[in-house]
Amino acid sequence: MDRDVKIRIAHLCFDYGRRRVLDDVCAEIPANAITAIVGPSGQGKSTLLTCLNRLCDAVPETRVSGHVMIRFQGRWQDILAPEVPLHWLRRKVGMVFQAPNPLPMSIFKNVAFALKLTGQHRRPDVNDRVVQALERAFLWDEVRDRLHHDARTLSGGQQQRLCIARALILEPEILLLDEPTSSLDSQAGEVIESLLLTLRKRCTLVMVSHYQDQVRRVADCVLQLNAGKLIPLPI
Amino acid sequence: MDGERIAQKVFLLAAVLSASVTVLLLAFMVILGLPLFQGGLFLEILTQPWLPGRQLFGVWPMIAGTLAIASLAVAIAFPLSLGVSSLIAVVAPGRIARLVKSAVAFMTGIPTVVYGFVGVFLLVPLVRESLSRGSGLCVLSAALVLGILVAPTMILFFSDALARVPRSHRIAAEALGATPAQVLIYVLIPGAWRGIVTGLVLSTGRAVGDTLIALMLAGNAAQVPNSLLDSARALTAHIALVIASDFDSLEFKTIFACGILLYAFTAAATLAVRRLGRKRTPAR
Repeated sequence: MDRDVKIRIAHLCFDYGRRRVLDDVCAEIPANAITAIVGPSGQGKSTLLTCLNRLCDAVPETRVSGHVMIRFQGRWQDILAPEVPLHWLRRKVGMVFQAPNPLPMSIFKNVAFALKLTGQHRRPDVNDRVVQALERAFLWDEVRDRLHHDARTLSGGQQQRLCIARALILEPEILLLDEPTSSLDSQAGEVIESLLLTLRKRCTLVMVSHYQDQVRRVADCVLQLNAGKLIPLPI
Repeated sequence: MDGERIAQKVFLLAAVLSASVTVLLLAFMVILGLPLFQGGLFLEILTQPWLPGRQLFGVWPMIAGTLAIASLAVAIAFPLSLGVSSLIAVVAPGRIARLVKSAVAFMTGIPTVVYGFVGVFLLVPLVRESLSRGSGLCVLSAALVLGILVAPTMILFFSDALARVPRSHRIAAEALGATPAQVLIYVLIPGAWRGIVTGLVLSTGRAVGDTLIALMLAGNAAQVPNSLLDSARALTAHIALVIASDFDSLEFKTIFACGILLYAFTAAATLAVRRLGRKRTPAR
């Protein structure tokens, strides 16, 4: 093991009603790397991702068992433990979705929204951090003159980078990405890919991807999901 | 083909008939109330007190009574409805929400007189004994029951509006670590506010237009109420009371002023809702 492990998944099972979606999944995800989860459609790739920030909790009639250990600032924590506060976890483990989902408000407010949730209202701090997050998401130069326009007026690729900025502003230790480029054209996808490569320095990225060539370009590590089981494949 | 054309004609006739009823109602009230519009009498009626002994037939006390009862009822129903619809949308979705929602839908179907009846026998004695002033037939009693009467309409509007907020917005906030309360305050309520305002306006219209609750529970004294425990008479109750006792006098004519006022209020509320609806379309 040449790299630090950030996430350790042990015997993770996930049932949706009577259907077993994840079956005894065991895996290790390295820190400060891009780990791609690949596999055929409907094999529970997105489900696995949402087990890492427990967004799966919101879906009714599901059952999770096993352990998902994450190392937060050197301390291991089983995030499936019921006493883990979900809002705390989700501020540490950010997520970007397949379709960009900006909130119906201005570009600035979208990015500042996450800070508002944590109770940070001091204007100069908020401004600085919004600018920093937009810069890190390669979006600042394109939106600096229209920060107060409706976020939904941005192009798809810009909206997706806005969602990445919104997730980054909380300085998450892990960023989950569920097919982040699949709703974008190839050019917008390339921008996102190069962005992801720079983000590796500050956080651990776990990405579901359908594209073999994308995985080859950006992933440091690949986990293949088949019939609810994970097979690690060295690249 | 022929059958289709006949059906079309029948439906057109039905539509024209029901639409013309609205216009005819206004015309009917204006024509019968015509003597009121001569010599500034209409304005006098709106502003004067109701003292038949001194030949003063103003409906100002009834306007004040309606405003007091309806606004208090809406003020009671609004937080209650927002709470129940938040429960349905956020706190307990699934089976409990369906149960609460069907109970609320059932409440809309209960005849108003049943609410009034329950109010007379349960609430009025309670108000009389615990607040120990007068008969217990007062603004407060009427507004409490009227609030419960209009709440189901509000709840159905509010919970539909909350449910229509796109799921992706909710998930975006949850993924950023929003607590359920934050999702409600920062995402769902702002996203649903047009529906919330629509429900509020229509429920206010219903509270203003309701006759029976005010008639049964407010005491019907033709005076401007000075406190929640004062007896008051609503415009609607006034129409019902006068129509039952008189015919073709100035006193009788005043009910057309009441009718026109109520009509104007309902029309204004409907137009306000339409405007809101129109604004919603291009924003999407």
